[in-house]
Amino acid sequence: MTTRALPVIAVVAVVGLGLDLLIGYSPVVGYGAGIGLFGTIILTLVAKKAMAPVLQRGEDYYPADRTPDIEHDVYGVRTDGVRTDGDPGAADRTGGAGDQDHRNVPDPGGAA
Amino acid sequence: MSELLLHPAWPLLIAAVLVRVLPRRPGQMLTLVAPVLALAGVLTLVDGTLVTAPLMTFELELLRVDRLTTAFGGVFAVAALLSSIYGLATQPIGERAVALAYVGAAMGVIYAGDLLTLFLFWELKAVTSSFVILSRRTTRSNRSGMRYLFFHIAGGKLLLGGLIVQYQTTGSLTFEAFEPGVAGWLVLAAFALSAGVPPLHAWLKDAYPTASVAGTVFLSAFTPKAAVYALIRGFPGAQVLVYLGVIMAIYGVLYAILENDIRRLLSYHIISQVGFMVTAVGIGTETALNGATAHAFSHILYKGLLLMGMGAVLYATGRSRASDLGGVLNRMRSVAVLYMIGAGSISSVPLFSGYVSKELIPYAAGQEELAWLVIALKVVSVGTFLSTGLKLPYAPFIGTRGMGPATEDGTDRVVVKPVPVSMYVAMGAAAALNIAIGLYPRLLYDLMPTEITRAPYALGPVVEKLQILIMTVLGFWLLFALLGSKAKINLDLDWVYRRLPVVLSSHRAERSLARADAPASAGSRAVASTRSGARTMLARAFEPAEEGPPDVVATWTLGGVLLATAAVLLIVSLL
Repeated sequence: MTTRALPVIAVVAVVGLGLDLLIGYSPVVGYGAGIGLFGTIILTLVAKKAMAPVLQRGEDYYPADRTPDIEHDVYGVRTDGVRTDGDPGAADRTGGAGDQDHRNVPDPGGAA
Repeated sequence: MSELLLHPAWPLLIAAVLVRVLPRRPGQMLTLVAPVLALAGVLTLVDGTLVTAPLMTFELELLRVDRLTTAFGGVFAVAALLSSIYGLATQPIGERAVALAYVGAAMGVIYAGDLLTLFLFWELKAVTSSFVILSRRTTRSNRSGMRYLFFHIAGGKLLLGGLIVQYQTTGSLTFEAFEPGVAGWLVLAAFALSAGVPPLHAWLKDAYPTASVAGTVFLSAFTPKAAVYALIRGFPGAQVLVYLGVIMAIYGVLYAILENDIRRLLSYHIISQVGFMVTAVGIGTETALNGATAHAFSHILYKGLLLMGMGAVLYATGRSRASDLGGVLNRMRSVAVLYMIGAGSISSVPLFSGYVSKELIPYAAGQEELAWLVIALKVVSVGTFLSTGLKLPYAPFIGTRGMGPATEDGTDRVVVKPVPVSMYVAMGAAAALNIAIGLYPRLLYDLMPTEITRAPYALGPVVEKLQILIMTVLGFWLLFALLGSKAKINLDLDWVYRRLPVVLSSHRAERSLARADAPASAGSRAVASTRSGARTMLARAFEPAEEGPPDVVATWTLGGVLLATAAVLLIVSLL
């Protein structure tokens, strides 16, 4: 995100606080702004500083369930190995992709 | 009795069978017609309709209609239609059939008036949804699908146990609010598992991202929302749900901030958003229950749209890690715009559906003077906007490589293939519904169980919401470097059954082998040898070799299911 957005954010924030002051809806002026800013900071710090070091592992941690780099099967793969490569027309012409029923597609690039 | 013919489950269940036997084109047509017929059934059935049938000594309530069933039945039918359109170009016949059966089963759950009918449809829903995952037929989907099946069959047994105890205690099987007791706790556990309440949630984030692009859209709509319906019906005002719901909401949103897989991130947000609904059920007032119902309704529409959008990214690029994507915005502008409508909805941006539904829940908490709950829910909303409205669209569409080339000229590392028209149609229709509800809240409010008097677009709430959103954008800007997606996985409670047995087995086997190396008796060597064998078996079960026998875990999982079933039945019979 560029710094060009900052003036816009500043103007909207000031207008919001002004309106908040006029309307008197919030328990304290800037209640919503405080929740937005401090909520973001708290959630991000808890997730990234407290949870991530404990919970994050390499992608091979569950080797058999590793997500392949390219999931070719989402394009549709026929039992004879012919890829329809995301072309729905090809699927229709060959009777593949959308309608063939006996794929058993290994995860290309996956560990298993 | 003739009303039974209008049961919305019929067209879906019959179509599930016919799709398997009809030629391709008529089958595709039927996939679209069946949800329309189901919707017609929902709209035709009159509030107060009750169809009963005797079975042995029981009087089954096969069809019960009220405003709550109509709201859930209506949105289920719409979601089935949108999901079917989305999957037209990609779903194999088998997946299409089990998806229709799955929706039919979910409809059966909604319209069941007694616990036995509920249980039968609940089990059908569990099995058919497992097959939706298994239909992708990759090693990953096979393994996670079996784990999913294990969880849901175990949940079904809890429901069965609760049903039996309830009948023994009260002599009635009518599905209505439970009194505190053993039956209530068993049934509550079954519903909580299906809703994805931690620590019973790991199946959801494990299985949903491994299904096909259309399969995940189907799955997101029905299982957790059927559980929310069941909680509204069975446990309104159960205070424990307030705490469980808040934990769910926070848990899901924190994991979503960490997550790198685009569809798993959204799966964590299902847990978080269902947490809002569970909290509302726990509050239990009319406004709160309306909020739970309204939020379930709009969540089905916008979560479907979000998963359709990210499914389209996966379909077009073959990639599901946010860290592997980026630089595709110029080639997927329409998908990005449609996705952002869903993101606006889930983030409660005014004029989108989520704003008119989700905000009812903190409002209901405020009416009960639960200030801590109001703040907690608003902070979770911040996290929702942060990860689904800012981080998730930024990483895959823009990322570190900008907006990318305008056309597929072969210069970019990420190749973008064409997205089928049917996917755009489904996303467009879902986006239109989200905007329509946002612009005309009465479209939604008039469907709720009781009247909603709150005016969502009063100046005060709108200004407060805009403040929250704009300051979240500022926070995102300030913490931008920290929020980047990392090519990592995040351990969750599924570690307990995916990894812990292997870890424990390894430690024991190593100790045994160490002892066996020392001079020892034949007996201790035999023990060490047995443990070594057990270690090998566990390793095969949980981490099969690349070219090893397929899915040994399936055998273990099914064995586990049978064992759990036997255990629950034994406990129930002892009770």
